[in-house]
Amino acid sequence: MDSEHESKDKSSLSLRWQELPRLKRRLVIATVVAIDAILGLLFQSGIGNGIDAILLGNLPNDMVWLSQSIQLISMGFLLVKVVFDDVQHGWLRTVLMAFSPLFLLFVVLFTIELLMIGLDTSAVIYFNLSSIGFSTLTWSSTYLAIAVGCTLTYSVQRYGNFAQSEFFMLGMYVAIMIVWMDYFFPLVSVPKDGVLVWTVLLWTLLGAFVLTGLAGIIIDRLVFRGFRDRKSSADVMMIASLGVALILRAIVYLRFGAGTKLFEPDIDWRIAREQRFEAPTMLTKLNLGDRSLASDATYTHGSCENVGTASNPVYEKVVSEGSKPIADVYSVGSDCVTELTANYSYYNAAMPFVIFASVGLLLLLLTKTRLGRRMRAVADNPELAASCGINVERVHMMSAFLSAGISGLGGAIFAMTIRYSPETGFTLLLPAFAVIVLGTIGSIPGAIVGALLIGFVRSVSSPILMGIGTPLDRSNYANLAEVMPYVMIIAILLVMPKGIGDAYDKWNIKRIRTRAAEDFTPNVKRASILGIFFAPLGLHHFSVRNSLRGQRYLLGTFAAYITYVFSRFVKEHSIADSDIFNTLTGGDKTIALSHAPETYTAVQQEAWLSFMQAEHVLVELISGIGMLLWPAVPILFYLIAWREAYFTLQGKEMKKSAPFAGIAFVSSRWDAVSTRCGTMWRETTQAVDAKIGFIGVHAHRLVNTGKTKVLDTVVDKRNSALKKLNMSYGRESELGSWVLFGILAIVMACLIYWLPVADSDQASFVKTLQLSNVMVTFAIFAILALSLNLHTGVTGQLNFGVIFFAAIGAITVGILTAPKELHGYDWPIAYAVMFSMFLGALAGWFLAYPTARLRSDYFAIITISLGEIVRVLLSGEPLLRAGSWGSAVGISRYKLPLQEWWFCGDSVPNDANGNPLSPVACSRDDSIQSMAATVGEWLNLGQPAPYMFVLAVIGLTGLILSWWLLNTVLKSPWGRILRAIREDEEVAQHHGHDVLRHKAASLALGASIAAFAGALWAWKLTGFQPSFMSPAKTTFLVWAAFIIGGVGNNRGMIIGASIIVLMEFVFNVLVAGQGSSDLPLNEVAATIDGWFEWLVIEQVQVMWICIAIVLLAHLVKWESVRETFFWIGLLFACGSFFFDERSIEEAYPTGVVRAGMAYVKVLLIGLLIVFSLRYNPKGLLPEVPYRPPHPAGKGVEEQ
Amino acid sequence: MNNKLLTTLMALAFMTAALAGCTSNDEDESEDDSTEETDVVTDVVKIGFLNPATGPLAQDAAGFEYGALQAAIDLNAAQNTTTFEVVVADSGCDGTTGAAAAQTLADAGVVAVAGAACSGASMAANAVLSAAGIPMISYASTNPSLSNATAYPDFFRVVPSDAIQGPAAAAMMATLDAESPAILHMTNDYGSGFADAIEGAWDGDVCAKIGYAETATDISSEVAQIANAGCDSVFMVSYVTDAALILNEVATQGLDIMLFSGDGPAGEGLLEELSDDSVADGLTVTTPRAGSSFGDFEARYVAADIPSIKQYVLTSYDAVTIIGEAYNLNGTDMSGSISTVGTAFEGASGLHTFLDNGDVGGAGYDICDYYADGASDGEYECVAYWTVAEGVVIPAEVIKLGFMNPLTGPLAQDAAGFQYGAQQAIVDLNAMYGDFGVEFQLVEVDSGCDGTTAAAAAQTLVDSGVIAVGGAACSGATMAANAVLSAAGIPMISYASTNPSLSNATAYPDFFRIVPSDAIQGPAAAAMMASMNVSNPAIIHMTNDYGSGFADAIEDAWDGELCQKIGYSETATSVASEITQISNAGCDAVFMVSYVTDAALILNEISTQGLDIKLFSGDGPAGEGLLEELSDDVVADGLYVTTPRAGDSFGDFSDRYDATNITSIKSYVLTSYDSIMMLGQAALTDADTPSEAINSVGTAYEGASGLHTFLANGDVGGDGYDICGYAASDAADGTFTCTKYWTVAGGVEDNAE
Repeated sequence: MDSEHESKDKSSLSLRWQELPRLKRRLVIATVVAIDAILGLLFQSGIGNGIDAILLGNLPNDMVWLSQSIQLISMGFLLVKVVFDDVQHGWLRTVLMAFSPLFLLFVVLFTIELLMIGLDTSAVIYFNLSSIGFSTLTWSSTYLAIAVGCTLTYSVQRYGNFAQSEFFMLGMYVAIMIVWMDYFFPLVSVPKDGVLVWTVLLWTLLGAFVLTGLAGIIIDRLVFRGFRDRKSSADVMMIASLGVALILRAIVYLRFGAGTKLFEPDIDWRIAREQRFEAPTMLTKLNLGDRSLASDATYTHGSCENVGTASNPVYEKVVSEGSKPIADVYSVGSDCVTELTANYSYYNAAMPFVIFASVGLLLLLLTKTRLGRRMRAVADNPELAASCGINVERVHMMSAFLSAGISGLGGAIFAMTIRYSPETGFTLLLPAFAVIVLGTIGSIPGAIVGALLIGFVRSVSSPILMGIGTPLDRSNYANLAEVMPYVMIIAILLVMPKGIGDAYDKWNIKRIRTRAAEDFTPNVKRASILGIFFAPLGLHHFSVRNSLRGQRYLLGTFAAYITYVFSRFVKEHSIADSDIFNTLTGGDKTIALSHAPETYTAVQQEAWLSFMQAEHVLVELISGIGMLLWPAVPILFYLIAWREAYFTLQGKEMKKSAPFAGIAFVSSRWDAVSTRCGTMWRETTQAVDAKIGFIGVHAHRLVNTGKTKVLDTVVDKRNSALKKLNMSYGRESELGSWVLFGILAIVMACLIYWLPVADSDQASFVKTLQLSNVMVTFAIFAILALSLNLHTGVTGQLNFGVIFFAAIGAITVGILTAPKELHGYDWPIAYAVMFSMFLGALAGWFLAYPTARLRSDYFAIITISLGEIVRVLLSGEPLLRAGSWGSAVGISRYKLPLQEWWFCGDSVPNDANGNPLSPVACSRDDSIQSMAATVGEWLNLGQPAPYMFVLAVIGLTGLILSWWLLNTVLKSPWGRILRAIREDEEVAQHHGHDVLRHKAASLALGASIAAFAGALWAWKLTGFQPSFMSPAKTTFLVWAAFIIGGVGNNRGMIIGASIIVLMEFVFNVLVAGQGSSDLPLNEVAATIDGWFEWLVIEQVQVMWICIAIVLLAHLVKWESVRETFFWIGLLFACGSFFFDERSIEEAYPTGVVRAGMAYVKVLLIGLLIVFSLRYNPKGLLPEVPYRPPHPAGKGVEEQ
Repeated sequence: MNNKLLTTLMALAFMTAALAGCTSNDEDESEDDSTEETDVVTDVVKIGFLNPATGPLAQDAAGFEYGALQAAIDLNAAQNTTTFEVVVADSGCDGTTGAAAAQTLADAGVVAVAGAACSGASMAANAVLSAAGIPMISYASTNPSLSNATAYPDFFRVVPSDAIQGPAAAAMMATLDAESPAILHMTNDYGSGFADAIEGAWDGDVCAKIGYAETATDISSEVAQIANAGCDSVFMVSYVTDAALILNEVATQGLDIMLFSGDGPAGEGLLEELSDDSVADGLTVTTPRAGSSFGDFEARYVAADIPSIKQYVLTSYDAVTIIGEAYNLNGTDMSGSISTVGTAFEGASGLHTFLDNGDVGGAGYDICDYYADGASDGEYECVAYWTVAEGVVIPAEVIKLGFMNPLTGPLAQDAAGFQYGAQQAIVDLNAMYGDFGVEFQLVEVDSGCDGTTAAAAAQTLVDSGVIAVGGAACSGATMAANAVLSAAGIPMISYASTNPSLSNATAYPDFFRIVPSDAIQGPAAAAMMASMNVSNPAIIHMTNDYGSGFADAIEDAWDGELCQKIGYSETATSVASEITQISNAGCDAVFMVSYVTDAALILNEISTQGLDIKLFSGDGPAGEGLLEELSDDVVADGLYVTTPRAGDSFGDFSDRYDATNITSIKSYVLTSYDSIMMLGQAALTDADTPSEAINSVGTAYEGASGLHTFLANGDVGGDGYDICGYAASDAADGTFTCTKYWTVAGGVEDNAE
């Protein structure tokens, strides 16, 4: 069909093409590209194969069919996009939209089918329905636990909280802390008895919620309130939360150790063989690709035929010959008698239950209570809320408590499912971000839907990926399920640029509008009659379109039923329903005690008995509530509906019912009482303060006047000095910025100089090596920060994919220059570097177009997703491996630039066997005259200079070139256009700039610079694994450099990068110093150790000291100190309550309380980030805006 | 306003401090120099240690560090010229952190570095360290590309490359008859590389090969996939935590599949990770063969109870030790002396010799398995090993024979003797066949003399892999055990079960016994009573199957009516009413079908009630043991019992038994010895089925308990019964003498003497 078009005259064709509506144009493109892909896959005759032929078959075959598969799938996706964008609104569009997920699944399976046929092999894909359902529940609840907290923080406090997963982690450790308590610890050694213990679980969940929530408040008060007061931007708070995350993780490492822990409320919870649900399931087996069978081979269907009687079924297997069926559905086992089941252990099932229930409660809190309304008001507009008399700070505190608490709760229940370490939570953070973005940031129902969707995508993609992994010899593909959420989110954002929640809101508004437009008179009588029969289902309210009340009825009934089922479950699986308790109450303790561990002493047995009695009370309580709710709630609904129906049918007006009036009365009384209490408390404290506080007031006044006086003088002096220097804006003036840059650079240089080197005869060599090493790392980070500054600081595109662009450079250079026999291409290094930079630029350019419509945070999540996708692909895709034996993951053994020349000179000498010498051999051969030897002599090193020196030179040259290039470019008009785009995209567009193209160019330029940094990074590492791309060690650190250095200021990038890089090296000295007495900072490490031991062991002492400080600070009215130590004191008070001897035994296996300096290092890095941002919210060297000269005669004003 | 001021002040303060640092640093150094010059007592030498304190391997870091620090302590204790210090740096598990840490170590002036653990960190650290001429010995990096000496100079490792473990893993699976194994592996470089190596070495197709991220928190779909694909086994290339996750998931999904793994989770540590040890039951793993662990470090580590990957704790100890010894050898050429020291180095992790590229060949792999039955704690035991040259070697063929002993229950007092018999049989078997590479082991379980206990015990025997079972003693136990054992195709030879219904070969297949059935003892008992002029005997019998069966057999054989036939529970604590009944009925004799304990009870009761009546019993209480049970021997005076006649005893076991002071029913001690001996010999015949093997051995078998020939139903004809009597008076202790005997052919006859 299309070939006919092509034969026509070209000009008329292009004209007609332009005239076609977008729908048709897109359809034609999709068809042509899809046909090419199909031809390629089936008959190896697509364009890709053509290119391969032109390159004389140098393209790996895998690459061709892989790209063709992606081509076909993306065309399927394009069709879906066409439906969303171009099809007229109406029933057709709705139907097509509803079927689009199924269609996409079909396209994927179809592609696999074609691919398999083309490759002459076959794939078997199994879908186990119940198993997929369970897996969905597990994943979505895990993600949701973090996502809900994140989205709450985002909507109320307006920043993405990277520390959210750390609250999840805190929850996990609260769980282990509670199990270590003396009261609960006996349960650890209770043998299994087939009965679940519920008390520990309940207390743990409660404890995790409250304690983690408290931690949330503490962090909010101590860290984020300061940022709010200073009106810091969301980015600054986000990076500060990164610091907070590091601090929290370091504290957990220090206190709990790095070993894995498991939360066992009772051993029986973990007996997966016995304590599990066995759900019937149905298995679908898809045979894709080549389905023919060899002549003598047979294929046994899973489907069985029932030829027996109903009571005594006899099943037979059906055997087919010749070919396999495409699909095969069965629900019985291979013996054709046992029913297939999918099992779900209780410990796994507890997680979705707890998390979905608590998120439901949270939703209720947000929508139905006054607190919730306040929170939403603050979320919408804090200023307006404040002016309405809402205490905004308190609302912030509440939201911090809830968001941290709910993540902690999730962490505690998650702790039961798997062994965890402090790092476990972090692996869940990024998918959780994907969830909230998918569900529209800030919307909790959206997050729930997003979590379910992503959980489902993850669990449904696993079987597909595993099925194709075997025939394609890519078993690592199963791992790609991890990035399917990201792929999915990219796809969904391309179709629905503001996420699902927003799309739903729009749809809802439209529905309400059409509803409002309709003329609808409710049929009251029909509703009354419906109410008489179906009151608990809320049908009577739905029928008069009072859907809100209807929902309330339906949900109430549903919740009551769920509670009932749950309470039944608890009772049946607890001691309340077993004979243990009968004997307990019967007075004969011997039988009850026989269930206690044999090793118990009499005292312990008594404790155990009382524990079991408490457990029984609890279980009876839960089951009592369940028994009460289930009949009571529906009956209540019936009663109300009958009463309403009575009045309606009688035609009477209904009075406000008494119970509601009662509730209103009670609530008003409660308000009055609470207000009075609050007032009394305030008055009392004020009175007390007035009595005893005069000292403090005087002291405070005295101090304050002194402080003000000194400050005023200093500020005056400074201002006049600055004025004299012609730097009226301090750091934000051109000169001031340069001066501070110079000072900071000197400080950094001093620090590098300070980095100690042990005394030995090769000390000068080691120092050179050290300098070079620091310089290479610094150059890498500085170049990446410069690139990020171009993207984010100047153009305003929130790029969280720094490592994505860097990885393009590293991977391309690595693979292209690796030797051919090790899956490489043996390219010369220079070409490879150029090609990688070109590839980076290409990626940047093409990233700009599809993401053009996205808001900045959505762009951020897309870039971070790209990075993660490449990271996982690096372990999953054999094409991205080189340099190793077999197909081990990672890239290594690539050539290093100038290495041979550096050590061996212009021509490489041969060894005794006639083989060329290796660079290392050259460097050890004194007779060879090379650059390394010359430089070594010149620097008086006593041996050839290290190769790292060359890399440092290359890196610094690259850094200077990039800096120069960017400065030149940004000073040009183009730089101003970019800044204009950052400030206001629409205005820039109005001025006639093609915003999209400028953005694309900026992305491309930055990306190619980043690619160079990536190549440099690869050379420095000499071999890398996927872990090299972990965002915590790359993207986030570059971001920290960017924010600390100063957004929009290239000098700031240099300083920021040097701080980030030096941090690692400087604090490492501390780590090394712990072990050896003659190393620097050994004393410091020992002191920290001592303090740490005191903090861990003498918690009560610490608490008292804190209380003393709080009282003192209160007396002298030093608010910040009072608050800080109040929270710290509270922390240690909690600690002294929960921790005892056992926690030390468990956390420090050697029995010695010792502060691992590696974790102190992490703590210090976190503190550095938080503090530097706290006092420099704009960074050390803020952007220097262009300022018109001052009109003469006016004084200098600080902003 | 204030902030800016504060910042500026801070910056100034910072700057001055730093400048002060710059200047003072020099002074410090010079001071250091002077002090060092003045008092050089011992030479302080620093050894670097790269530890993955953060990152995915963080949970094992504590163990690695323990190994390194212990090595330094030991090095320092061994000599007093040098003081070794271990400088620990956090290598993370990634190249960037690893390189920075390596630089810090180089700066600190270490002579060599042990580490890193992760291969990526090792590569990046090597780039820094080799430039400084500092050699490194990795204790856990197994990536094959590190074998390249040109790319990674001065790099050694005391763990073999992944490339070698693949064949070991494949051979292990083949040995254990895995046919379509699935490989479930981490997707990091260790996981993928090892998985490829296994696949490469596996002869045939693998059933499925599935990767997962080592950070995965849910593995259900991967396991479901393996189940769906119908694989018969799964090889997990995992670390400990995720192996535990997989095992739990396999248990949750109820998969019945063979479990294998590599060195990642190998060790007792895995059991620590599991709440329920039994999920690891049947897991077999390969782990670098320690050969033998030299020194006591392994024991110290186990005692220290630090959870970590033991193998790598041992290698980290060795790495630091090699460095220390190399320094002592020649501190100026560390690489060279490491090679020298690393020749046949006897380390805690085994014998190491570095190849030219710094790799170690490895001593092969141990093949170890986990056993846990759900009731007790799991066990981890290395059963075989694999080497490049020999393949899988099972050290000696171990033949396990089961032995069911009534350690608890009514026959418990005789268990010691039975046990002695069985154990002596094993000793004799091993003495006879040990030279042929065969080792017999006895797996003894408690049959409890009841069906429930015995069935469970039989299951334990099946699980532990016995090929045949001796026992049980009590007939009820034997029946229940036979149901379990015959289902598993395991034959049994009972040494004491005399119930007639066991003669039915259809109901009790694969069952043999070398004691005659009660169906034969019944006539003997009847004949004995008749010969003692009994006219109106009562039978008081246990209501278990032995008691009921034997009582029926006597009733059948007795010519005339019985006076009474009363059953009692063998656990009865009082038989007063039964004895009263017999007394009231006016019987002239009582035949007790009892075990020892209750026979004593009955005798005491008869004596208490002052009944004057003739006393008889069967083989249950027969023997000196009864007298031991009685506080007053006189109550047994005049009791006559039947007991299987030993015929001629072959071999010297009977004498050996007499030399001990064990008091059990001797005839059954002899049969218990014979049963195990026969099973052991049958195991070495090359018959097609176990039953055939036993039949072939059990033809005119000259046992300690006489000459045995199995009939078609597994019974033996028997040599008749001895008739023995107890005599005791107030003056003297009781005696037990056999004066007559009974045979089918001749009836009751006097003993020849």
